[in-house]
Amino acid sequence: MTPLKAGILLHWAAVTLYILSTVAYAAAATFSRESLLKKGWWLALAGLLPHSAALALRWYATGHGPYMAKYEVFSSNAWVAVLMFLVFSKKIPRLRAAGYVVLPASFLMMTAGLFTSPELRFLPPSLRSFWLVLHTVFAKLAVGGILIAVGASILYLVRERKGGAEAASLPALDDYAGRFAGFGFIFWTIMTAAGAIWANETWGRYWGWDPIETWSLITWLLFGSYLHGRRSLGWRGGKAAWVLLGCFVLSLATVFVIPFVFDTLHGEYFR
Amino acid sequence: MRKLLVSPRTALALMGAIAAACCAASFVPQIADSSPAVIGAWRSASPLTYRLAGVLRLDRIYTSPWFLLLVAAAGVVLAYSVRLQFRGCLSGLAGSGAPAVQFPGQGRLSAALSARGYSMLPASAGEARFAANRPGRWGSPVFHLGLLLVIVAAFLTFAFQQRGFVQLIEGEVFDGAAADFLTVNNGPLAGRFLVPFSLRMNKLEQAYWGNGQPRDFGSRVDFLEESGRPAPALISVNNPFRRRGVTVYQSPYYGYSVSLALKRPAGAETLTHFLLDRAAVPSRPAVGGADFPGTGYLFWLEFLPDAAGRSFFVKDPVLKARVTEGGRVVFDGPVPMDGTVRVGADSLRVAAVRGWSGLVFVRDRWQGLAYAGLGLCVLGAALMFLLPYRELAVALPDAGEAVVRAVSGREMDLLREEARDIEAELKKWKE
Repeated sequence: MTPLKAGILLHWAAVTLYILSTVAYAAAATFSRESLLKKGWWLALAGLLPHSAALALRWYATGHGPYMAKYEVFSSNAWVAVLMFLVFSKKIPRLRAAGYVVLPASFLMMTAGLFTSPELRFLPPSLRSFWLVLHTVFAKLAVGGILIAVGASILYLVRERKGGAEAASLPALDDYAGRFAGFGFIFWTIMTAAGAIWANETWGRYWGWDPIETWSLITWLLFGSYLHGRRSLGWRGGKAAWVLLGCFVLSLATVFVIPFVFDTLHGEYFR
Repeated sequence: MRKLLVSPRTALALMGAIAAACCAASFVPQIADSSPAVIGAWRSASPLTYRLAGVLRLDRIYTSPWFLLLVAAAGVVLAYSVRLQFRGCLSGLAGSGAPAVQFPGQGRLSAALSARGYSMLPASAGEARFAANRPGRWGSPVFHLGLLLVIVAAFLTFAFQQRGFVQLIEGEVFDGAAADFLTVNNGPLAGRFLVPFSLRMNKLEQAYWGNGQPRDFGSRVDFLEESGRPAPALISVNNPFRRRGVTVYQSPYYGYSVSLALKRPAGAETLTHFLLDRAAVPSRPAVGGADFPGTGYLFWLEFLPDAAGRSFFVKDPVLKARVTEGGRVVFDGPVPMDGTVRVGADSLRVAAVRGWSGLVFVRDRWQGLAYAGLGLCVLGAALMFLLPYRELAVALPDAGEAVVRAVSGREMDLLREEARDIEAELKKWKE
């Protein structure tokens, strides 16, 4: 079996385990059973193992990191999101329930990648740069941070509607949403800075108003507004959660929709 | 005015307005990066919106006065905010020499708090103050200062940057004169762009992956100065070359230059160079066309440097030409590399085929400022969110239990939880 085929099989194994983990999280939320949250966490960890092996095989076969073509981009984004979720939810058990946002988002991204053509693609000259690694690593960390923040916000909105005993955890959940949105914001900032320096090394200009650059700036400004609102205008609770969801939809559009709608220099990684 | 500058609503409004302008620029065709065909189609389909967009500068948003004003206003608000934030941080430092409050059981309390990363601050109104992640306090001013530097650098670059593009055939020399640039894109306050050195294009280098996708390309050049020997250098994608304040970049445009010699029945031979754009993969021909000066001929050329990749029989490079004169085809077929063909009453031969490369020359004195700004943004954001400043106040009524109060932090609800945990911990110790 070639490394490529083995990688695809391992990817499907990871998707299956992530789906099972999602089911556990959904059941935990529906039947209010804490023990299922733990099972969901372990299933996600079990999924991360074949997922890591699949990405390592892919790296070995292509000779470059998983950042070319939809298949690699989706898969590595999902890997970072799941890893970040596992680490942070271990440290902060109250965040475990956010798994019912992070896990489905991850397996959906992976499945979308698997249904595109997973053939090998080589790096074109402009992408053969150290800055590419920094730029993409921080983009993925930003996606992971934002996904956890969104998970916390959705959890907030659901628990707020349910009321009862769970309502006591709402203020802390709201703060966690803000904290992870802050992490996402830092990583988005570093990604943008690395991209600007790289653009200057390649084309002799930091900023060219390319559609992805522009929408990345718009997303950054909106996340900045959200954090400003929290800090200075007292945006809290449901209002902050809805604003964050709006920012998230926009960041999704920036990363996954804009490359298809506009002719962009960044389209190369997503063809 | 001061109220307007310090209001968080002003900052939010400016961020929203800049985001809205960027959003508009994505959907309204921008003259700088739309083809004339797109602009022409817009003008004929909707003359009214086209005219309106022109009046409001919506077709060139990023260079419009109102957008520049918006960014400048953001810069002013930032500058004011940075000043206030630094003043706040510095005043905190100035007070750090004051003696810390002394109280019974201080050691136990300090130990409980230092285990959580807190250290004692100078006294404040009878309370003991403790703070964790003190460098995090500088995060916000440093981040905003970085943003301010980026905006200032962007304005300076916009105003003073000098940028020129030149196409050089192998063997050609660019002598640095402003007139020799094919296109120039200077800032409104920049003077003529004179490059302080000459440059000879020696060789275009291309490398491909096994599947035919381009792997790398670059230009081997010699820098020629009035004194001294030529200095060789390789300028390739992602590897620009800096010399005497000017950076030379490899542009994505390169290809083959086909030099054709045309001999009229009663006249001398005339030589012209046609620059053909390279194809995405080496198995496809480089193409291009232009008129032949001094004649009525219009040439369209296709050049395949390595025909062996597509045919078992043809090994040599292949050049195909289609020549029209007044709309009538006068020649259509291959042109041998070492022979002549008839084009109308004239004869045509290939004089040379060489590589050509596009190079971009840039002089930007503000690069360091922009890099410093980006670096400060990253540092400030990291300080803010990875080391979030937290401050607690501990009141110690005589012989009573300590009351821990959250004073300052990005996540006040979590800080209140922590304060309650510390209170509970202290109570346990007392018991």
